[in-house]
Amino acid sequence: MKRRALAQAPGKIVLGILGGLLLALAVQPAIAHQYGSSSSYDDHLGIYDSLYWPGNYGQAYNGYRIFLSPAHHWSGWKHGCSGYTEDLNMVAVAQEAAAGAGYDLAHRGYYVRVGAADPDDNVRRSNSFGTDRHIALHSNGSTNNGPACQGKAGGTRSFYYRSSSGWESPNGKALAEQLRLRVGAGSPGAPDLKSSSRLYELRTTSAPAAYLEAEFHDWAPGETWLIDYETWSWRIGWAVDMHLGYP
Amino acid sequence: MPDRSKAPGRRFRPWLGAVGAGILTFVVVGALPVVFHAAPEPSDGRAGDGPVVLVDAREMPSDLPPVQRDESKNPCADLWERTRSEARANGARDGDARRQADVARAACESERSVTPTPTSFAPSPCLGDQLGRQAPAADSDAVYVYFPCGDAEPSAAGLRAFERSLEPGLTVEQKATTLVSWLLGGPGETERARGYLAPDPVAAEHIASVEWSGGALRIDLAPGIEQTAPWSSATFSTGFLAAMEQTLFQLDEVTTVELSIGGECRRFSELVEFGPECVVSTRESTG
Repeated sequence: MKRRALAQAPGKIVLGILGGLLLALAVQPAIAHQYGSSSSYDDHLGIYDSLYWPGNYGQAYNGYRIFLSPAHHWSGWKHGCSGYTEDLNMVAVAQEAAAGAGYDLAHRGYYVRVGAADPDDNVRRSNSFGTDRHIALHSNGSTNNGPACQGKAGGTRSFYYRSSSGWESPNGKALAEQLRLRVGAGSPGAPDLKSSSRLYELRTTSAPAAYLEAEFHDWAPGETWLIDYETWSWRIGWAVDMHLGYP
Repeated sequence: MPDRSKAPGRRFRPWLGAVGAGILTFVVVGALPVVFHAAPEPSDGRAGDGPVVLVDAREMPSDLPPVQRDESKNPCADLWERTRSEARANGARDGDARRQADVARAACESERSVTPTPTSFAPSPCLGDQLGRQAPAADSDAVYVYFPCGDAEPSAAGLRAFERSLEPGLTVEQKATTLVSWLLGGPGETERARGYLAPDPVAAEHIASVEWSGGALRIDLAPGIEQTAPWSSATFSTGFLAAMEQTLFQLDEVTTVELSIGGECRRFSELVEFGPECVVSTRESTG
């Protein structure tokens, strides 16, 4: 009897290990996701997002996750006056808005992820992150892409999703309106609220989204203001706080 | 000799070993990530060891000025933290403390002129024009080319029709080619002065091919257009596409319009930030 039991033991122990392994692998992603692992987001080769947990800044988590998606154009970098590059500047804006000098989203209690990939990857990562609000960060241009500084328009443009049949994302619109009011009030040009049914990051995100064109980079006052992002990026946190009621 | 294997508490039970091994495996494999991610991410904000921001190996312009933090540019920033701390010390909920801090900082910036007074461009004269869709022209050779009035409204409601004449006897492809070349060429000087979309004109040579089959119109643009296209922003891409649709759907034979660059429709839709899927405009969806 004992011999028989001993003979069965290795097989059953292996079965037990396999069962435990399967269970662990099934449960692990949920645990890892909860705690902010980046391991399941490495599909964009070698590129990692930035995560900002409010606890690391001495703040209590307020329960909201914000995804910032700075401009990474599929078609290449976009430029403005004086060597301005939208794709580089808006990454700096996103980092400053996420965890800058103390009045940013992380210091306000938000768990923030800054996407480092193209818009479609960023949307995938945003949707996997359990994002509560998604904000695409861009700067605008009214002329052809190039170094010329001959812009014919200025001011913040804040977009929300509006379908071709007229349905509007209520939370997306409310967020976009706050961005227009708070960021727009700090920019040199007159701000405006816009809608789009087609912009990718407005129509494919699970979370309500806004698409911020912070200022025009081919208009000299706009470009000067854009590169001085440390003075105004806090307004993104202000807009989010206003929109969500200061949680 | 007593049979010890039958003694209570001493009998070896293989299934107990299996359960034990399973629990041990689950704990080791499942819990390790929790241990390592107990803090959601490293304190420097990076989620991994890879490069953080640069997706593409495109060459960085060498003449970019270095960006350095200048605290004197933020004379009101300290006020934010001070107001928040004081409000919390006085028993305010953190959210209320942040609200007070935001209001205080905004007022400070406004006073110190950190916040510029918004510059309003003079309203475009075209806003006073009759915008929107035009009834079809009575003359069969007359067509309209639509141009957006600035970025006032990136939809059909913000467009104005400008009459042009097509040569008689053109095929659908020839008509479409002419219309697209007019669209790329932009409005005339007079219309530009009134505020209609006025990026630098794009030469008609950028139209690589126009095909029409069974109602589907396919317009392929040359790759060079990516550097000169008048759609360098969300504002103007949406306005331009609305103009393109309104203009081309005047042709009764056209039911759908698809644009591509270098033969790839995805390349066009990515250029205008509409996504990695092809953009196919339908007559129904544009009204």
